[in-house]
Amino acid sequence: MSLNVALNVALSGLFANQTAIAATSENIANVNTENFSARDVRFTADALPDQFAGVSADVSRRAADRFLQETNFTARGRLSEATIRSDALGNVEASLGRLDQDISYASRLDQAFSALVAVSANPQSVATKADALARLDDTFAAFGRTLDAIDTELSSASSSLEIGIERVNGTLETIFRLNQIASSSDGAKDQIDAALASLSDDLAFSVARAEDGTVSVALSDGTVIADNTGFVTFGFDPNISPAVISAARTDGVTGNASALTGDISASLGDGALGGLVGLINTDLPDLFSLVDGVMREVVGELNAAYILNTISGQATPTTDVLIVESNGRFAVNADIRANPDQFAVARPTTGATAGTTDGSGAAALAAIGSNPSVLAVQESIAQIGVQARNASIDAATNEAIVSDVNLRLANGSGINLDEELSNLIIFQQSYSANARVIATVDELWETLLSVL
Amino acid sequence: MTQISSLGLSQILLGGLDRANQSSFENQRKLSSGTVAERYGDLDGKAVQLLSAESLSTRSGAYLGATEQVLNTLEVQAGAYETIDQALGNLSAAVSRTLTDGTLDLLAIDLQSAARQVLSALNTEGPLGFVFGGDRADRAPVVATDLANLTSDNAALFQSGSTAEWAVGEGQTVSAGPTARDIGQTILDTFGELSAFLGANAGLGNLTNAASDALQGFLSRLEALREDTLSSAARQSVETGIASRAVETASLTRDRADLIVGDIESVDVEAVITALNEDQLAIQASARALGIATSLSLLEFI
Repeated sequence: MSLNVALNVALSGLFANQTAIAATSENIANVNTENFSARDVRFTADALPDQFAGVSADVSRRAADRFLQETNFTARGRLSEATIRSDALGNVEASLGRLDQDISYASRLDQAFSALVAVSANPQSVATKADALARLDDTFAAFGRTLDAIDTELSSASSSLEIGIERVNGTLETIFRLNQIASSSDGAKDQIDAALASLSDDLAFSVARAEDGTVSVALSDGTVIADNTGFVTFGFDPNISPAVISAARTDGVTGNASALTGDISASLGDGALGGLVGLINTDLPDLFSLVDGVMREVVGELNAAYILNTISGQATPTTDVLIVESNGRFAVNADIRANPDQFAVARPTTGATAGTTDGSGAAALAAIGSNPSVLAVQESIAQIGVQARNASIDAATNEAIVSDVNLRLANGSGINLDEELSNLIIFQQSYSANARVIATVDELWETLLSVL
Repeated sequence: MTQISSLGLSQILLGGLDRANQSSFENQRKLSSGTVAERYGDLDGKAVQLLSAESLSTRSGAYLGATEQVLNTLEVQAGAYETIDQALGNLSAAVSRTLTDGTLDLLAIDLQSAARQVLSALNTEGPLGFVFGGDRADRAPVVATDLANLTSDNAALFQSGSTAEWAVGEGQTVSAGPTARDIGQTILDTFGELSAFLGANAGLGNLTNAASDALQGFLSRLEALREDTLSSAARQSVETGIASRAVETASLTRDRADLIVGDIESVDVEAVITALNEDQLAIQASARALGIATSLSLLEFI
């Protein structure tokens, strides 16, 4: 055996540890990278017949727990959906104001009925009538505020759906592109995992993984949306209600797109897109009908009672409508609002002239306050509150699940800094030791040369 | 994952610290606002109960204020009835005295005084306007101030108006009672006739039999009017009773509704302070654990 053999063996140790330090440095550099699988270093003794052959280091990508990964994807989808619902319903609930502010439409309605009682006791006072009319207006402004909040959330959900679909389309194309290089690049596999994680925020899917690292992504109905041969592009027209999501498949080789049949929104599963479609098609329209329905019920009862009332000094009942509709929102008739003395609050015996202190018409309006329709108004507020709260609890629960699953994933395939730092010390010392061997061989060469 | 400086452990400890902080924040909010919840959703199923109770409290409060005004008006009205009764009583006594002592001279003064008292009583104002104005309580129901304005037919002196009803609760009303015309026209007509009689018999000296008979007639009519007045007053006292009970009911209903609101909305300060102390301990423990965990990193040694 020559000194060269010793030198080569030491060099192989030097290179192997250098590779190990590089792998460790990659792990440490990616400590905060989501879906990064840690690199494991495996040392193997090189085998040559009747010789010392040294060592080599193989770097491999630690396998992620696929079951945990899928659980993570599902939980992320549910979290996105719950967060979107929670935010939207929370904003609608916010339009009711805080509990102690008493500005919800139910509180305003109570105040209006209370003002009408005051009018019934003092029907000659124009100021009292003006106050009651102002409070009625406040009530319908409060109804309008909540309906506006629902409308705003609807249009915001529509914009978010448009943006979300753009994002998903980009991700599906990226998965197709990464599939092309997955067999030769660990980084591409990591990026595919990252893309799948990002996709799981938006929709639910199943993943089929091939031996070469490529993936085929399919929706719950089996529609393949990205693989190594092409990808699907989703489409959404915000002007069509209810929301419909179309899909077209692009062939990766020819670039030709062919439309898939029908509305695919029902197959999106748990995720931001499904949540937004649910908000646009079901949750928000239902809330709107609820609030609008109870509002119209109260308006109907107020107007039906008002038409029986008579203006002071007159004998025939008024022909005015108390609450008028304009573009789906209600307000007190502007003519009556401008002339509170024309507010008909009397209800004399048929044919008799109404006196100035006849407040029985106002009392009849105030009595609506104890009707079942007003209870329905209160129940609608409770329903908005409960829906917002349930969505918020749902979001918090899914957040906890995502956090727990992430932790478990990190335990399996993630980076543990302690482990990496201790490895670093070991590899550094091995590297120094091999360098020391080279220095020793060098000294031996010097000795031999000096003999010559 | 057992390494103490691992990201996972830090995450768990940070999560604990965050939860303790959030809980403490929520308890501090409860203490500072005095309310158990900020949002309707936080009350769960109690939201409807709270809103109904608040609604009941608001309406009862409004009826309480309105009914108190009605009650005050009815009390003023009762005072006016008493004045009319007294005026009629005094005049009856004066007529009786005249019949006894046989001279008409002083009766004119008593009649003038009675007429003024009755006119003033008929035009009495209460919190809701003229108490005998009926549904036209915004103006004095009788346009006369003095005996000189009265004749044997005083219909023209009365303003038009019919009986009013006042709301004192949901679906419950009390009657404002007879109008000034209902109560006062016969009285004023009688006063007018008596005044004319006194004018015709001025300087008569001793009463003639015819004058005595006429005075007897007036005396009977005055007594009958007094009875009518008392009977009207009695009917109104029933309405006063209804209004008074309505005030009590509205007040009780409002108080009960407020109690329910308080139970749902107001915070149990003792329980919150205890919870806040527990939060403080939890924050301290979490912060300490986090401190120990992060300080034991291998980073310290390289």
